Amino acid sequence: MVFAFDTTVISDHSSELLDGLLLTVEVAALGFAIAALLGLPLALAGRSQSPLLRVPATLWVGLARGVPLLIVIFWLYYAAAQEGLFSLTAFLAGALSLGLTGSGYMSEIYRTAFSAVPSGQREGAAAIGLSRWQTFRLVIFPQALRTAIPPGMNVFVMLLKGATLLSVIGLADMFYTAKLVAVNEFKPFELYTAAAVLVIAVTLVAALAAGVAERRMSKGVRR
Amino acid sequence: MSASTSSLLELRQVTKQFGETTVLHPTDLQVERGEVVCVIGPSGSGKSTLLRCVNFIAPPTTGTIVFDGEEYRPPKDHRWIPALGIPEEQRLTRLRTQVGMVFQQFNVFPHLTVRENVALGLRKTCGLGKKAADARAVEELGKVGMAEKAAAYPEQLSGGQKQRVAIARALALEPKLMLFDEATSALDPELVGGVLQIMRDLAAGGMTMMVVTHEMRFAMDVADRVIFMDRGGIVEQGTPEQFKSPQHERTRAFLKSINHG
Amino acid sequence: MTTTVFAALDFGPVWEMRSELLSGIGTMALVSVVSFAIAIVGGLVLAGMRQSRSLPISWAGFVLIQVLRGIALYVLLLWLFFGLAAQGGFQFEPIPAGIFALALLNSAYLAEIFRAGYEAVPPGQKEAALACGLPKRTWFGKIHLPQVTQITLPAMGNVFVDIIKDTSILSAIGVAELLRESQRWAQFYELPFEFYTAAAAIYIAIVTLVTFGWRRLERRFSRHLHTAPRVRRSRGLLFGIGGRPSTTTAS
Repeated sequence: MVFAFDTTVISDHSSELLDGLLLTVEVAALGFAIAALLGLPLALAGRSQSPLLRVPATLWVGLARGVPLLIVIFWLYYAAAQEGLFSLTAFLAGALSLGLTGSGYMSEIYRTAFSAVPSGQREGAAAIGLSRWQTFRLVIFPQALRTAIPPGMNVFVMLLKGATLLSVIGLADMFYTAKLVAVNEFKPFELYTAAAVLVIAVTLVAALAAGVAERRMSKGVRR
Repeated sequence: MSASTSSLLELRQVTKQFGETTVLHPTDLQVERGEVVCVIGPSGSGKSTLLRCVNFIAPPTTGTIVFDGEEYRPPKDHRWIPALGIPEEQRLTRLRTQVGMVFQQFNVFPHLTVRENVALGLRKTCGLGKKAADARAVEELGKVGMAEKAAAYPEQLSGGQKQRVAIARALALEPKLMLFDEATSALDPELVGGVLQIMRDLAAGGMTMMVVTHEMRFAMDVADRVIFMDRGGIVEQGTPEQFKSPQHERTRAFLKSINHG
Repeated sequence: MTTTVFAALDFGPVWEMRSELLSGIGTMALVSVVSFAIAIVGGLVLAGMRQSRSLPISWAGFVLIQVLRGIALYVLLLWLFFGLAAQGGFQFEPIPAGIFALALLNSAYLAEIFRAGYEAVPPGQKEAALACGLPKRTWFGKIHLPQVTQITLPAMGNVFVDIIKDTSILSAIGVAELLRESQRWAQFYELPFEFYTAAAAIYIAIVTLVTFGWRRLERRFSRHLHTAPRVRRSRGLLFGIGGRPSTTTAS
């Protein structure tokens, strides 16, 4: 009886499960977009010579990286609503939590990527009369982006895994569905296994892509 | 008006400090139009810093630089609100478009093709359109023998070729002054000659140049004036002829060391 | 109903429940330290498999590392705790299950870190050591290992911090760590803002402390090697963020 695996339960509910999976990927993608967009100004502020920009950015990054995702989720979903600050749907609260947490990591990745661009590039750009903003936009950023892509993809994988937590605030993702069906049909092993395998497959593809990107980038001839 | 009669470049009591260390002691220097000045000296003597002060890539700590009749002073440190420094920065940016610079490490942009490397400055600082800039870029590349590599990326080029691209990139902006910072030091020996030839041609064409170099033959042949620097200051300057019998012991020791080194 | 923002903040219950929260911190510390220790052993095993000259073992190591890196902790916990346990007709104890899952997943990250560190030491070091007539054992213990340790320590610190943060996920299977305690009392007093804010502050404090402690450890190892002192900008010390580039991201 231990290894009786009832596949019909899974096939019966496959479309609901896949819908849930899609929701997980969507919320992770939105979260990553927020993280990637927020991380850039954060990284720039963190490198600024002005303490007025640097200190808040450092605080933000410290908070984003120091507070566990699950607490951010609870905070945005329950705590903010209690204080009447704002009230979000599970999807938005989830995407925002992922985005805020991810922004700290993305900021660090951009920062590392910016410092990886040789200082001669800045000098070369200045010597042909490019302004600071032009230097950043046309010379530094395009080069930094190349180094930032592989670790950035790792952040996406991290957020994808983090997105699985969102069933705790009632996001109707795959685990939420799995739990409902599991209770109704009393087939928890089948459903949790199916859900796990599905989400692992997605994260694996993303993780492998990140790995490939990492190897390709490190092989690239740069001097 | 008076700009055409005075020197192209004048440094007045220019100094440079990095934190506690002084890398350039108060220095005065004038460079005339069409003059070729070669700066020699041991490593760490402040040659490169001197060059970087001229176009404010490493802004001097104190002193004044007069270029083509315009005065430039060290920018104020807007540490708290960097945006306040923008007008000053814009003025320096305009200065830099009039001063070309070639680096030891080439500093070509690896993410752009050879043509785009040269066209970038034309488009962004001279306001040329894409087509016009591309055409001019290929023309400039032709002058350094790199026209057929216009579509290549820098990582496909040899060091000598990269340096030619860097020279074309600087010349495209039609600078009034060219700075060469050890332009051949990072090249394999067999590639040095070609780059030096381009610099000779440029000098013969009347370009005003400041050249930091270890190539004594080149300095002796091409320079109108040779400057010897040591420990952050100018020790001695004169014509190449005068440098055949230098006045200072330090100059003699240096010349001896590189001739027999 | 219009209420003034922050008008009703009441941190009194948080203070009253301090001993409960403190015991949550204790559980968190226990779980993270034990998981980290086991993960180091697991990481060494996986890294060893990866380095193995036997192709099947090396491949198995590679696949295992990749798969484990793709697994979300929460998914593994649910599967272990609700799926597998239901099937086998037995019940896991929450704490051992949590430790097992944390250690398993993080061993894959550590394995990659160990491997990268092992390969980062220039091969000239080995050639030089053997050329000096040192036996291989001495080379490994006295030359190689100290350098590998110095290279890998910063990344290991990141994994440790990630483990500490990830203990919060164990609340989902009922481990009475800090978040679970906060959740319980947040619901009891109906004060989620106060309790979750407090929990976040405690996490920040702990992560900062651990990061500082870890930096001291790193410095000790570098001093022993007589390397030049690492340049750190003072701003990097706030929360222990920013001083060193960090790209390892475990979850």
